[in-house]
Parts: sequence; C-alpha cells; structure tokens
Amino acid sequence: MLVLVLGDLHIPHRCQGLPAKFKKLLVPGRIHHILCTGNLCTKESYDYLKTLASDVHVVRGDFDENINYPEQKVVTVGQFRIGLCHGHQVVPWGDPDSLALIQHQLDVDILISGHTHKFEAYEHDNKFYINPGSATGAYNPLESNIIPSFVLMDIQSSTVVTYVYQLIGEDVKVERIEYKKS
Amino acid sequence: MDENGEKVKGQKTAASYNDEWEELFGNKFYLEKLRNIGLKGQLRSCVFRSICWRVYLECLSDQRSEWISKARDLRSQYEEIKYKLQLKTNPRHEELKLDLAVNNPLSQELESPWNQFFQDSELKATIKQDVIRTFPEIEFFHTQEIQVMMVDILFSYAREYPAVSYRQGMHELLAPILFVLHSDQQSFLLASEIGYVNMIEPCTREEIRELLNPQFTEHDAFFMFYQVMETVEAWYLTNEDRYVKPTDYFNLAPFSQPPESGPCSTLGVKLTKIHEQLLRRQDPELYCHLTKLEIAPQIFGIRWLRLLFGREFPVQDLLVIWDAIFADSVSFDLVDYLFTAMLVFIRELLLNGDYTSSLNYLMHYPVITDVHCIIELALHLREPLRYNRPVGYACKMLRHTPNVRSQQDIYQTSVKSLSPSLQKLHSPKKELLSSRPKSLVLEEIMPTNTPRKNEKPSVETFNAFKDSVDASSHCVLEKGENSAEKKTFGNRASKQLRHVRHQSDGFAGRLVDMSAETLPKHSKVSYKLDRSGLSLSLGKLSAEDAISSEVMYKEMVPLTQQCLLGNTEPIEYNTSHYSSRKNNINTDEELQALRAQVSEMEAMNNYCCKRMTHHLELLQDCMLKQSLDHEDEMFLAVAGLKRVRDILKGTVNFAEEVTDEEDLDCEGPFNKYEFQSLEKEFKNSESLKFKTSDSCTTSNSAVLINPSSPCNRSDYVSENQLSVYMNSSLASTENKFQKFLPLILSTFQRV
Repeated sequence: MLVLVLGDLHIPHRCQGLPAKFKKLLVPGRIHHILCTGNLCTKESYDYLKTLASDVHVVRGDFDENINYPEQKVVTVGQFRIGLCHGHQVVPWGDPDSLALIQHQLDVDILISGHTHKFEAYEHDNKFYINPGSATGAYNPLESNIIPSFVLMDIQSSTVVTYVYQLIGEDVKVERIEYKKS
Repeated sequence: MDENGEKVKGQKTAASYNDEWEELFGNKFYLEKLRNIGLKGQLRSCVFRSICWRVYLECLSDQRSEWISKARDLRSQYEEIKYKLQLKTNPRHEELKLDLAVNNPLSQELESPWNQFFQDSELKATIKQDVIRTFPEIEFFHTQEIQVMMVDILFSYAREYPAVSYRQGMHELLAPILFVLHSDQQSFLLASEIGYVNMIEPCTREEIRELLNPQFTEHDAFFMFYQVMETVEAWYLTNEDRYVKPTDYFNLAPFSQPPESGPCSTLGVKLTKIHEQLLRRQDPELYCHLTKLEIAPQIFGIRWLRLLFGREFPVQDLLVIWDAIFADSVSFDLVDYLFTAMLVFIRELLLNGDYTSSLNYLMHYPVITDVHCIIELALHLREPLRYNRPVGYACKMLRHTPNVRSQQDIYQTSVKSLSPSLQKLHSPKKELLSSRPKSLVLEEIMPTNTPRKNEKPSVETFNAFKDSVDASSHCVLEKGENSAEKKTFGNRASKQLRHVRHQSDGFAGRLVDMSAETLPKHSKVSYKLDRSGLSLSLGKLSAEDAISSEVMYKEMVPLTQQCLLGNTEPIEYNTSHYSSRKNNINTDEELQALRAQVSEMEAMNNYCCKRMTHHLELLQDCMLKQSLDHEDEMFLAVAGLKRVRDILKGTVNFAEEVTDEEDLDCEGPFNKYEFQSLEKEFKNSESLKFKTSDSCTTSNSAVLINPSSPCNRSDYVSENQLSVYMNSSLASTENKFQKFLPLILSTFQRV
C-alpha cells in the first residue's frame, strides 16, 4: 500500500507550483492514499491531489482557504493508525516532546505533522514521527532556503518503508527509512 | 454440468474403467487409433479425456514409457517459471540491491522493478476481470481456487511470452482445459474410492495417479494452454502497422472489390482466405449472399476462431469439437473447415434472412443437435475422397422449421397419394438425386444435356423437396427457352451466371463487371415484362370466368399476406435475398413488387391445389360408393385431373406432362449452353408461376363447379344423369385446361 505524505504547498502565495521533477514522479495509478498536512491554500491544489489518488485526507493549516478541514485526523492504513496534524498549534513548532503529547492524545503509531517546512523522520519512544517538509519548497517565516521534499510510505503488514524525496539542486535524492511496529 | 458428468462417470463399472484405459492407450501403436477416436467424437464421456488431449497436444510424448518423466519435467519447468516471476515481480524482495534512485515506488526508470510491478498488477487486474466472468453458467469456475489458478496461469503465460501477453479471450481457451483436467481427476478419485482402480495393474495405476494428480492441475493446464496458444497466438496478434497491399493479398479475381485497406492481421488474412477460397468453392450461393449483405467474415469470425468456437456451442459439445480439432493435428488445420462447415450448416437460415437476422445467426450461433455432423462435414470438405459426406445431414441442417415442415408434409402426402403410374414417373428423379456425384461440378453435367445441367454445385446440399421443385421448374424453363433468351434476366440470375462462369473458365472478374453494368437496365425491363404478362393472364381469366376469379381473388388476399409475411417456400429463396443494394433504389422497389406478385401467385397456386385435392377426393369417394356404367372412363378422368393437380403442386414434371399428352407448340431441343437457364432461372421460375397459376385458376374454376354436382345432387339425381354430368364436367375441365395452356404459352412467347 503506497501512501503519499506531503504538505505546506502555499500555492499560489509563496510558490507557483510543484517542482517539475516532482510532478513527473507523481503519476496517477500508483498511489493509493494521500495524507496532506495542510496549507494547500487553494482548492486547485486539492483538486490536483485528487487526480493522483481518489483517497485524499487533509488537515487544516493556518493559511488554508477551506476552513472545513479538521484540525487533526486519524487514518488507519493496514495495521497502522496514522495521526495527522498541521503543527502550527504545537508550541514550540516541531518540538518532539510536544508532538509526543499529540501522539499520545490521538493514540497513533505514526504521527505526521508539518509547518516547519523541514523534512524529519524519527522514531521516538517506539513511535514514528514524520514531517514531510514543504513539497514546493515554500519559505517559512524563519528560513528562506527550503529544500522541497515529500514522503512516500510503503506499508506492508507491520512494516513501513518510508521513501523521502528531496530536490537538492537539480536532482531528486531518495532516502529509505524502515520502521517496524513492535 | 460438472456433477452430471461425474455422475455418468461414476456409474461406470470397475471393468469399464480399466477397459477404457486399455482401449485408448493399451495398444503399442495407440496414437493413430486415438486420433481416430477423437475425430469421431467418441471421447464424449471418456474419463481420460485430459490425457488424450495431452497426447494430442504433445504435452506427453508418443512413447508411453516416457509419459511420467515428461510430465514431471514440465511440472518442474512451471515451478521454475513461477518462482522466477515471483522474484521479479516483487520489488520489496531482499535480494534486490539496487540504487534507490531506481528502486523506489515512484521511479519512472524502465529497469525499475517498481515499474514492472505496477504493470504486472495492472495486467493481473485485467486478467482477473475476465476470469471472474468465465462461463458464468458453470459452477466450477466460480470457486476462488479455480479463479486464482486461472489468473496465475494466464499471468505466467503473459509474462513468459510478452510478445503475446494477455488478450481478452485467452481465458476462455484455458477454461475448458482446466475443466477437463478437473473432471478427470475427480473421476479418478471417485474410482479409486470405490475400488474400481484395483482392476488395473499397479504400475499403470500409479501412472494414472501421477498423471491425474490434482496438485499439479495448474502445471499441467499451463502447458496444455501453452500448446494451444502456440498455434492460436498468431490469431491474437494484430499488426497495426503492417498494411497489406491489395496485390499481395491473395490471388483475388480481377475487378473484384479491392480488400479493405487498413490494419491487417494474420487472423484477418486467414478469415479472408476461408471466405474467399473455402466457402466460395463449397457453397457459392452462400458466399454470394454474405458478400451481398456485406457481412465480412471478420465480423463474426474473429470471435469464432480466437475462442476456438468456445461461444458457439454448449460446453459439452465444445469439448467434442475440441477433441476433433486437437486430434486432427496440433496445428489445428481442421478449424478452417469447421468454420466453413458451420456456415454451410446454417445456410438455409442465412440465405433466408436479411442483414440483421443473418448477422444474428452468426453472432449467436443456433443450437446444433448433433455436432458430430459438423465435424464430419468439415472432414468431408477437407478430404472429400477420404471422408464421406455425412449421411442425412441435410435434414439436420437448420432451417426455418415451421413453414418448411408443413411444405414437406404436403410433399410427402402428395407422393403417397400419387397414382402408381405417377410414382413411376417420379422415381427416376429420385434415383437421379441419390446417384448424383458427391462434388457436382458444372462442367461434368453440361454435356449430358439433361434438365439438371444448370444446377448449381451447391444444390447438392438442398433437400429433396427443393430439388424436385427446381427440376420441374427447369424443365418448363427450357420449354420456353428460346423465347426467354431474348428476354432479360433478373438480378440474381446474372449473379449466378457469374458463378457458373467463374467455375467453368475462371474469368469471374469480367463478368462481375458486365453484370454490374447491365443490371439495372435488365431488371427494369424484366419487371415490365412481368407486369404485362400478369395483366395479360389476368385479363384472360376474367374473360373466361370473371365471377370465379373475382371470388378467388378475395379469398386469396389473406393468404397472400400470410405468404408475404412468412413464406419460406424454397422457390422463394431464389428471389428473396438477392437485393441489389448497390444498384439504384428503383430496381429494389421493382424487385419488391415482383416478389410480392410471385408470392401472391404462389399462394393462389397452393390454394388451388388444396381445393382441388379436396374436391377430387370427394368425387372419388362418391364414385366408389356407386357402381356406374362408365366407371373406367370416369376413373381415368379423375386420374387425369389428379395429374393436373400434381403439376400445379410441382410434384410432377410439367414439361414432361405436356409433351406426353399433347404436342404443344413449344420449341424443340435446346442446345445453347451459354444461355442455359441459370440466367433465366429467376425470370422463368416466375413465368412458371404465372403459367401454373393461370392454369390452376381455370382448372379450379372447373372443379369449383364439379363438387357441387356429385355431392349435392347425387341424392336425387339418377345415376345415369350423374355419370353424364360428371363426364361432361370432367371433359370440360380437361378441355379448358388443354385449350388454355397453349394460349398462355403463346401469349408468353409473344411477350
């Protein structure tokens, strides 16, 4: 089961669109689910995601036009409970301990958050935390040089293989991180 | 169906299970015998059919001693294929240590295992979609186990032979194979449960057990399927970019329609070959009909061949057909002839139908009661010398049942009621029929100068009834030949001329051209001719007996309508389906009108016959009851009347009759072969109807007076008076008839 995780697009306010190299990779028919951490901003971005997979889950970021998206969401894929939260509510932003609180609150195996525009994936207390960064490489209030990135999770029974796609210079770099549910 | 099969097999006794094995494979030179059994369709309830198929398909070697080793070999091969595929198709496999830039789920690189993975899952989904719809009426294919097996086999095949891959229809080739394998395994298990197999020697028993091991169904089925596909795969390939030029298509006749340009596949070429060569030779009439309707063999044939007739027969019959195909040779040569045989088998339905109904018969092949017949016919078509034409298959041929049957009944009863002398007259014709050579070719018959010389080769497939009608019509035609020569001939006649010519000298193209040019003009003229002929005869009628004809006309109207709606009388075949689409619409309309007239006349004719028979019987009964003075003469007269009636019916040769009785002013012997009445058949068969119906009305009018006399008056009129009256009335009938005939004939000639 392939799950695409991305967010913080900020189209059209901070970026024109997804990098061409990413667009080329994202073809319909391969991805089963999309989990989006928010800040899509416009409906058009949402529609684009819909073309990649029919099952799209979005939580609300601080710049989303659509205020009907939920603040937090829990999705179950295979044996995994996956929590989804944009992260602007988490103070300090991206703090592992604060995120652990939300993970506890939602009782999930994997917690996905965004807002910092910085890719991160780590295991903490036997739970898995993912921050897909910004897929467009949009700036954030503190940093203007952002590496565009997104994450693809391949979920097979009790294992998640996470592929991280980062656009460094002109090349797409792929990393692979494995997480096993104990 | 599965259960039924098993039940039947279950009923076999212990001895028969053993015997069957010995019968099939016992002999050292079993192969030849086994092929014969397959061709004769004797495997219908065989419990070793799957083994037979494996022998036919060369999945088992010729030597029986090598069977087991060969089977094991193939099974391990399949294991290997499957293992390799599993390794290849799973991108998550540990052994693959590839660069992440390539080996990631979104990679578009060609060598990426993920790329292959997504293609495979798509392929599997496609296969699965088809597999779950395989033979929905058979329970066996609904089980999860079988469906998974089918998907695996088809997928393995598709991956192993990517050039062919998977195409829709392959699953229907695989399904019967699995079905046969499964039912053989089941019957072996059943037999061993009951202990039937104990009769068999232990080593043979183990051999069977090994061959029919349910564990290896998938393996065995794969290789049987592979062997089938080996031949059939070419029919699935489409060469989109290979355009075949008309010149190297085949040796098509010059001026014939150029083959449609466009993508051309092996299958398309094959179908055209069957159509242009086999069917054209075997049944030119049907070929012509299908060409006329623009029903290309590709329309229905692609499915027929790709599925090996899988949709055309019910499963049990299909297996018998496959027995024959496989048994014949592994290259499935028989298929072409089966194809032709199937068409010939439903020729009556096709010839009788328009575009929609013909296509319907081809797309939904009607249920055949006896498939062996088709196989035999196919074998005969291929090797006429080695295999005899199946006996009596003409009666099994499909046709419009209700009407034709009634026609045949009439025919049979009329034969029974014929007087001895007439039966004598009739019998030579029958002999002629039965002694006709198997492959009737025009040149052979021409020099004999018999009335039958203009018979088409395909006529041999007609039933006896049509033959006799044709024959009688031909005879009459030749009487009026000289006059008819100058006249024009109809649409169909010229088409037939084309055939005849083509067969005799092979210059079809020129004639096709010619007939196409001359067609519209001719048919118009002929139409006019008919109109005038009709009005003439009608005028005569009204002059003779205005009242009776009027009455009759009124009676005729409903009958006519019936005829128009559902007339299937053989003569109708000749005219009804040769609509000339390509010619102008006027000709079409005229033809329609002509047809309407013909059927009208026919209805009148039939009606008159019926009435005449009825009244004649009455008359005869009355006469038998009373002993009269001039009994002999009266019976003679009645016999004469009966003869007249038989002429009307067409059971007695009109021309012979006429020449026997009086020398009418007909032309002498005819020796102009070129105009031999094929050309005029159309024209003349109609003119015959005019003649007969005219004479019919006259004689019938006489008969209409007749019955009122003996039946109503015999009570109070004295015998003497009666006999006098009857004699006179009979005489008048004969007189009228004799007087009238030459009149009509002469008017016809004048026209």
